Amino acid sequence: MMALIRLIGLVLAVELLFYVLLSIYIRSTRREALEKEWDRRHPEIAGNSPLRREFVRRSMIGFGRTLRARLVGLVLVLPLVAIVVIVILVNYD
Amino acid sequence: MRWFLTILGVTFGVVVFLFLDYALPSKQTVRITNTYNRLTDIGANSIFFASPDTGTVQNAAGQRDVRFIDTVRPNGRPYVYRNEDTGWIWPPYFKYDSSNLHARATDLKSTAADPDWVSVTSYGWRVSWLSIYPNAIAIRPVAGPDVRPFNWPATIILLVMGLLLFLIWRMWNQFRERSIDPALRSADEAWDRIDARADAARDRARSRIGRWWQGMRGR
Repeated sequence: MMALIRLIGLVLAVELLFYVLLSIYIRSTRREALEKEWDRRHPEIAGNSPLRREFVRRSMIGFGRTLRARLVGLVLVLPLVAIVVIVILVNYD
Repeated sequence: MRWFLTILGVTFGVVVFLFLDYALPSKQTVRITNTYNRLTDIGANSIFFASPDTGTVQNAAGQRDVRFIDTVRPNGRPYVYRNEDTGWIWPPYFKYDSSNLHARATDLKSTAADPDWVSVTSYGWRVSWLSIYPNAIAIRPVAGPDVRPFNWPATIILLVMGLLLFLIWRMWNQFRERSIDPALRSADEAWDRIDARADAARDRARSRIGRWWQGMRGR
């Protein structure tokens, strides 16, 4: 029983670590894409400026509810699925 | 310094290779000749056996009743597997059906005169002088000694690990590009500003001293 609790704790810790890292990562790629979009639309005021920062800030509102952001939640599910598949393949096949 | 890093890198690579070679599943076509339990001394080689808290019973002298599967390879050489639960502990095979596996192995026993070939999936090494045995995970009958099923499990695990490494590499690059490099750049600029201010202060000081000196000489 202790071993199972330890396994759950370990898997949960690794999953949460990757959940945090992945959400930071996809936010960062989205912001980069938005900055490039701004530079493409306004070649005359390209580069870092308060206007561009405001544009990125407003465009990022609601990003947490997009499909891309929600798919990061899979990181909490997929390892569990993998463990169940391994248990079935090893013990019941 | 360079040779030191080279040795360190090579050592790291060898350790990773050995670790994967030990922990990943491998398949071998063999013929089962015997299955039995034996009271086994577990001493310094204990890391190559199941963890004590997977449900194995160990007596005070450090001995365990371990199930073994004797086999013969197609080239006629013997190969011995152990059959132990891994439970929920390392390595993550989550195996708790060793009794069933033993029943299956016993069922597939055969003689040299009338061989039944099976493919045994296992992890671990057989090293006779350390008395360590690979742990059998699954046994499947195959048509003959030349049939070698493709090792799908190890391939998939390696692919997933490669993808994870690629993801970590991408995340690190993004972090460096967006966080570390701008911070370094702004630190550089701040340093330049401080430098410029110091230069200006020195120039001013020098001109003041110069004026004072000129003034002294003028008198």
